[in-house]
Amino acid sequence: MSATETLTKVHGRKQEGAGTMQLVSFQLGQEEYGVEITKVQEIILMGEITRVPQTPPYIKGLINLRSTVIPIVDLRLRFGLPEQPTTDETRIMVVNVRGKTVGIVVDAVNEVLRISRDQIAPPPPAVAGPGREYLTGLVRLNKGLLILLDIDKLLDEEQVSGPFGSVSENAESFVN
Amino acid sequence: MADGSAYHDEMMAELLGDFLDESGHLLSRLNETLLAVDQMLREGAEGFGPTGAGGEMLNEMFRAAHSLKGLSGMLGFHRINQLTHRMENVFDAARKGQLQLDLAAVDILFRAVDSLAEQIDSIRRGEGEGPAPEAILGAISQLLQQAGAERPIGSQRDAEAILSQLSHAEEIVNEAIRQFGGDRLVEEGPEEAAACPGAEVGAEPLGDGAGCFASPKADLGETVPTAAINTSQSQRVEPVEAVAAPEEHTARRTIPAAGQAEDPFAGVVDDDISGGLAANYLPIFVDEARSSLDELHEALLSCEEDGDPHAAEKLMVIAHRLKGAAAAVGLRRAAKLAHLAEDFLQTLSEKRHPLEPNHVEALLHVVDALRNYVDKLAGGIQDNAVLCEPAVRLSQQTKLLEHAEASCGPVGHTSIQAQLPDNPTPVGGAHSSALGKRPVPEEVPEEFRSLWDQAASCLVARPFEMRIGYVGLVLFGKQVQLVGLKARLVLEKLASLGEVVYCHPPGECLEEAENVAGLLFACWSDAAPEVIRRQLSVGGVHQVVICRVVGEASPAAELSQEFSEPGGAISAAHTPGISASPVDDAKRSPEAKSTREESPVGRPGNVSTAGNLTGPKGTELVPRAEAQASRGVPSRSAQKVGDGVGRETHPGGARSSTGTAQVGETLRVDIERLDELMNLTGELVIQRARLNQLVESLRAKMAESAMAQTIRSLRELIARMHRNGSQVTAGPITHGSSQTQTIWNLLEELEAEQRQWVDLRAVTNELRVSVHQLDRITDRLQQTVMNTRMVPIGPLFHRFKRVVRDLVRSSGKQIRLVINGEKTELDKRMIDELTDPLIHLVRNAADHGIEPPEERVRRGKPAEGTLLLEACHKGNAIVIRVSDDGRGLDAEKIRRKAVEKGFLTPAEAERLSPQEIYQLIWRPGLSTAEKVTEISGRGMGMDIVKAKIEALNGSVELHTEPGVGTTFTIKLPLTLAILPSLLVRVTQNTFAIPVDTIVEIVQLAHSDIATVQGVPTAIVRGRVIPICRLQELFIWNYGAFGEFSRGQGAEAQGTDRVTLVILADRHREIGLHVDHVIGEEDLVIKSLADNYRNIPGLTGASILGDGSVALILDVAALVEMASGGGGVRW
Repeated sequence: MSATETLTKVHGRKQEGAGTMQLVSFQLGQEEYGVEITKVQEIILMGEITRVPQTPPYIKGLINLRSTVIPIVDLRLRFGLPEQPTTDETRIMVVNVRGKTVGIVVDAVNEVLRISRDQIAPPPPAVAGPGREYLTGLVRLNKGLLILLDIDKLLDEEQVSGPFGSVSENAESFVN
Repeated sequence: MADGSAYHDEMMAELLGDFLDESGHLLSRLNETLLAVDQMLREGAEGFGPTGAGGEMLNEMFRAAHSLKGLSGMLGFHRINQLTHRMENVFDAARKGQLQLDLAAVDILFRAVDSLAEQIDSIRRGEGEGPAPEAILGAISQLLQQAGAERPIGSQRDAEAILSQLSHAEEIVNEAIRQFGGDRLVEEGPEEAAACPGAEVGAEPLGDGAGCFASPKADLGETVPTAAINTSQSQRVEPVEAVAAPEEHTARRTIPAAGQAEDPFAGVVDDDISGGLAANYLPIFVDEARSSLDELHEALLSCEEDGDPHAAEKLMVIAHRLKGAAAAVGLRRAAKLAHLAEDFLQTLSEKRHPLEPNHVEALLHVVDALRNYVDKLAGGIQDNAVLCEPAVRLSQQTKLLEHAEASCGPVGHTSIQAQLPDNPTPVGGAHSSALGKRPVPEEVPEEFRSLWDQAASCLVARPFEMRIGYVGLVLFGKQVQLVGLKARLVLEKLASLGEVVYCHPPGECLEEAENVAGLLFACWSDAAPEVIRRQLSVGGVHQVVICRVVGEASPAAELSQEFSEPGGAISAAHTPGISASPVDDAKRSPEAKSTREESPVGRPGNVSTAGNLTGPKGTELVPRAEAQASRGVPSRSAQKVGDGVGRETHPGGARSSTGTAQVGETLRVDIERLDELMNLTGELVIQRARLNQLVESLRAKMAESAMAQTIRSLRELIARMHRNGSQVTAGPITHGSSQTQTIWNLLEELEAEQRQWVDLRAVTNELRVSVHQLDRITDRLQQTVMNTRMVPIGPLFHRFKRVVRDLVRSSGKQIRLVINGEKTELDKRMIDELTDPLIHLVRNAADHGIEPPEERVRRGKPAEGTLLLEACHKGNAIVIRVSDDGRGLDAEKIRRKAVEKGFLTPAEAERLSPQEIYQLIWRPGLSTAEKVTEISGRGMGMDIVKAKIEALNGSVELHTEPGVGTTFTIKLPLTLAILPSLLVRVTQNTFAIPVDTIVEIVQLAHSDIATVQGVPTAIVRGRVIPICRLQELFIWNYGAFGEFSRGQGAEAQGTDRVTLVILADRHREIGLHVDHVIGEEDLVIKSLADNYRNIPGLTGASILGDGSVALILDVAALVEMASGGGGVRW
């Protein structure tokens, strides 16, 4: 789990200046995405996932992360990409969003990188593609473009107004 | 202080937390006591007076209101403050007999308490205070006016009343601060203050609050003179002493002597803390005080370092908290000391005076003394002595500070001069020279004066080995019934405390006497005056006057002798006259000496008011002793006093130390941490179960084998073969064929292995033993952790007394509330969550269940209905029952209502059995009350009850019989954290089902399953049970789900038996089709909402022994889903 180690190290000496930020970049299909490192708790390997009924398809299920039960979101399915069998590269990125811990299945975790804020360009208005509403910007890197993902929004929308509506609505329809 | 909140948000937040905490306790105390009063009134006591048990209750309520008032004032909650102030006045008037509490008054007070509760709730919600409860305030004022007690009236003889005046003063001060932008009136000039007769009191013990009496506040003006007289008397007659500061104290100052050294605790009497409520709160106090003291200590040290300009405010807040805590448990001396510290700091901050090292020193001294005191308290010893010296020292500092501006102006002089002429000359009788000059206390009525000296001389005439000789007078209230008997009782009590040598009227004729105004006595005793006074204050006693006439003089003389020894620090004493002008140290000493030496004789300090009993030598002796001790061995002063002087000179103190039980230590812990601990323990328990399984299976596999025997047989066999082949008859096989040899060798290896196997088995056994040990330890750990969270249900039940009382009043019904099993303990969390459901149930029972008296009588039931609240343990569960003997549920009415509301079609309604009909009440929106009353019938009760209880993994059942009554039975698990469950497998998924929802597990042949309207149904023991499968009941929106259901189908068809787990929820049953049953296991519930959200049909998840996650089924929801046609779409 070298990635975790790297992360810990980075967290340890994280004292970024105002102009820079650190990202964890990961692969999803052909595209490379970036998430702010402060959101990422750890990166783990795929393990046994307990499937859960009454949830949207992209909720792969629940795992036991050191005695905590956390849900696993398949980002491919979330973005409407075709499902892909697990490979050696597949990872679960554990992120903390608004006090909740959620695992995100990604094709691969690439690296931790530091960018300056001027490298971020606003997302082009006409980008069509998976999860475009969760993009906060594009980062030009030497090797290509990195898509900045608003992970809070992504997971929040899922939880609050997901396809099954809010919890309380469910509870009501339940009793009647 | 309210304005200061901007500085120390954090501190205030904490203070607010304390306030909310404490106010809850206080309100419930008020409520409980009021209920008791209400009860007494109802039972026919005409009016409720300050006599007997009533007095104690009134005091109790007075204290509660008083504490609330103080706390709210501190935090700037004016409305609460105002209201509690009024309530306090009512209680005060009542206990002085000026006001009779009747039912109407109690009602007003109840309303006031409710209003307070609302206000506090509103504050808790962060909304601040609600609107002022004008109506209640008005009602209280009217009450007071009617009684002619709108203002507290003079003759405040008892100490507590003085204390209450103190806080009146405090309040006025606060108000003044608010009004005048923080500038205290005192600053305008002490002369002005002196003009008011009360001003002198400003010296102490009434604190500088009294200094503000200069503002002509009407209700204070009246109360002050008495207090002033008390104090001024003792001032005038006592040589004024300035207690020495320790030697190392370099910053010596000339002390303007304004009578600064009278007993700082004069008139401050502790409540009896050895029993009752206060004792329960004592551990909490000890705990709180320690943390406050730590805080204070730290804050002091840190402000010494960096001189924080707001240090004084910060310290003040802590000191105040300490004061409140001490006062709440009745430790008024400690409270007083904290109050002094607070005053001092307030003066500092008002004068914008920096905190100087000597101030810090004095405050640290206070902290040390309080810590010492608290430590001793925790050990069961109430040692008041340690508090005196720092108090004196602190008041010195305060005075220094107050006079700092007027530099060395003759302030003290002025006030003393101004005051002296006002003083009544002591009314003296004949003085027995042997006893010194002992005037008769002025409270003693004329008729007893002549006898006073006679009593005193009896003491001399009949000496006993006991230390102190008292002369005292017990005055009885007018129109007290059976006064003779009471006098007799007083006499007996006296006899138990010591040796009575004189008694008037004589004991023999007491019982027959019909009109005894008072009982004059002389006795020898080892008890302290306050102990005697407390003992004598029985019902009907109006006042107790006690004077120490003989005893204790010699230690004082000794001490004063030591005092004048050279080498002491500023040991100074003044006569009032001399004290008027500041004198330097050098001059002072000889005077001190001379004054001291004559003091034991010339001191008429025994002029003691009833409230000022501690004033004379006993306590006053202590500061001196203390000072002396601290001079000798500064670092160990407190210790020494505690061990030696304190105990010797305070027989009463020593007695109380044995009386006070050892205080259990408590620790306040965040409940979150306990939750965490509980969860971890839960997991440990689960792992232990797994370990047990492993060990058992290991043992089974390692079972005693016949291997050794087999090897032996083999060996013999080979040997025989060999013999047969080679004809060698005996001896080892040496020259046999190589094959035989090889087999032989292999056998030897096998034997070695077998020996290892035997060893291994031994180890396994050891492992088993140790796992068993672990078993026991884990059990105990779990038990202990659970116990830490357990609280008795009693307080929750007792809350319903009030609920029922209100209902009774508003509905005119007669209801008797019976509470059983109040000692039953429940998890704290559960208690919190149970309140609402129980209130709903109790209200329903009282409002809808129990009939009006006429109806009950008509039906041949007693007019008084019974409402039973009961809790008990039953196996691994807690059962709470709420039952009434009322009319029961009306099935017809519910049926009609359900049709009306559209829950059922008329046809459906007809089909349902009464039991099924009753279950409809759990539906939201169904209320059967024909008329909606104030209390219930809003149609939101029962469904909430059910939801709440189910959220606790509990269940609630209803049993009702028309005309006989209704019983609700709530079943709760012992703990929230661990859920005994059955694990079942459905395809690849493991699910957990809470065991208490399972009726039975059956296996059926496929042929036993029929289809009814498309729903597979089985008949089990005559019951028709619909079968459902999780695959169909739940929506599995999973990409690869197809394989799930197909695989399952094939598997199920493959076996010829079907396993059904029959689940029940409120009389409805379903059969859950499972692939197989894994077994029972205790699970720790993990909420899904923690990291995701709640999922319908699931209670949560749990981690199994192998680390995998299992889903816990919500059976109630499943049953609902199944009966809703199986296919509720999500």
